[in-house]
Amino acid sequence: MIQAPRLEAIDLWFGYAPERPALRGADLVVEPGEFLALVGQNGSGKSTLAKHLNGLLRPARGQVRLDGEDISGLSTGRLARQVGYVFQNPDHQLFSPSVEQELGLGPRYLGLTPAEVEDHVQGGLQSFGLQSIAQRGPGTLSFGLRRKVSIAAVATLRPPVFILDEPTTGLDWGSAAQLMDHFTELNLQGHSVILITHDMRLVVRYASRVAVMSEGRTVGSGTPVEIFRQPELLQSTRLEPPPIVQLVQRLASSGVEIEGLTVAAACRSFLAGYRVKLG
Amino acid sequence: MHRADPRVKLAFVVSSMLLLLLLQHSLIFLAAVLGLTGLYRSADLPASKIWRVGRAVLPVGLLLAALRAVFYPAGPVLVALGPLQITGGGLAQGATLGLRLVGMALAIFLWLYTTEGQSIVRGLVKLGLPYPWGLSIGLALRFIPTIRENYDTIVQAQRARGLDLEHTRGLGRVRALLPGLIALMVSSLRASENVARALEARAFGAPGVRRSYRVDLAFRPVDWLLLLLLGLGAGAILLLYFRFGLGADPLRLLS
Repeated sequence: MIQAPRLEAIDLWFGYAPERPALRGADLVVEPGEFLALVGQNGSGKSTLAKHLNGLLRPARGQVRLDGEDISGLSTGRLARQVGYVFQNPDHQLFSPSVEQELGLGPRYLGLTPAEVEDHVQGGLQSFGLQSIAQRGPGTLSFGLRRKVSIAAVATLRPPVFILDEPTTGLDWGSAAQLMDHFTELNLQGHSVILITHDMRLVVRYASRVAVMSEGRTVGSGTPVEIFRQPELLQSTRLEPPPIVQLVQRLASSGVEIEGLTVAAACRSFLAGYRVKLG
Repeated sequence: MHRADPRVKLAFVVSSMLLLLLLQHSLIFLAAVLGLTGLYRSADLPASKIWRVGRAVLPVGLLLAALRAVFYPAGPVLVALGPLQITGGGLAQGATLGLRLVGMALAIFLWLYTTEGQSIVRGLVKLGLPYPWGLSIGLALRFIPTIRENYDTIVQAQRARGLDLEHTRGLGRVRALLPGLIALMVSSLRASENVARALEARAFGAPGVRRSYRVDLAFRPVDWLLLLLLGLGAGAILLLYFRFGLGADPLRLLS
């Protein structure tokens, strides 16, 4: 089992320009082995907050702690061993002439031995099913494959914490689910996963906890059930629960008590309730 | 400044560039840099924008100034470090070169910061440039901040993969950033291809169609006045240059 570190962001303030603060006292705790969804409107500060967790951005005020240690003295290169960040656009993170070399770039940056690099690369190719395109240029691949390669390239660093910045944008549901299942497996092995997303279906299906951001602050945190039971919070942050959650909530207001955040779970709950009623 | 006709602003940029290339004395360039900074402030552009321009060109300007000061000796020796000598003339020429670059950058960016992309295109087309060329220039200028933003993200992506830039200096840093430039080139080419397709999809360059314009540029009295003032100012400087040798020599203000 992987032992992921505890990440803590305390009262972070940051602005890309002095007149436009992107973070205004944001707080976040990521417990070891947690699958956390970071949600909020565009411009709410999700990516900015996440980039502080691996030192890509440094706060003007506040502190980020990794297992209790302030990371301000640690270089981003060193933090990359602990926190892997997958960016939104795959084209911004593919640098090498072949997929194989792309997967080896990070391990080489970390100074691993050639044997270790090879081991990491082969592991990455295998777990993401990229062996058949290992020698192809990443730039010549389809968007979905480029996305996959960019994620595999971060996964080869084998960091205990993954930050996935809208990783399923542009992917069909099947590919998105396959990708997320991969990270669920890693999560089960002990890796922490921070998922930045607008897709509430992914949130209810994969996240154990949700942190909601608005105007540079964390305004809510809890399990998906707890978050989706707060209409004021949903309204103020313009978050829309998935259709099945909305249906369950409407049925509840009509006196039909069903639980579950996914279609399968709601159906099970519905059938279980009827079995009880029918004796 | 923001409301002036784009052609007047273009005339200002062109005349500024020509004067900065013609004149030689660093004090004149210093005055030009200060004057341009004043224009930035009068156009309500924040100091951060001036600093952004300065930050982009200052390293090159300082490098050019240093190289010139060292490799073009002239006049009395001020400092001697073994075979390297820094002379008064070399230093003055170096300062001229550095300040000239800063002045040119400030003039160009003043035009860009105070003129919308569409106005730039309109101005160029009105001056006789074919519309596709004008649009290409406008698009290229509009993409500069996007390319800059993309480059920053690409470098972040490299750092997130373990590239330690904080402890890499000199040639090692340049070498480390090279893969990022390749990614930047690929993403820029992809973006330009997408823009071209989007334009085509909106009937750009459709055969047999004569383009119409919704907004037409017209000189207002204040634009004529600005053009006149510009002409008089540039003419006065040229007169002083040719008649009295103002700024013709890098070492003497009047020759």
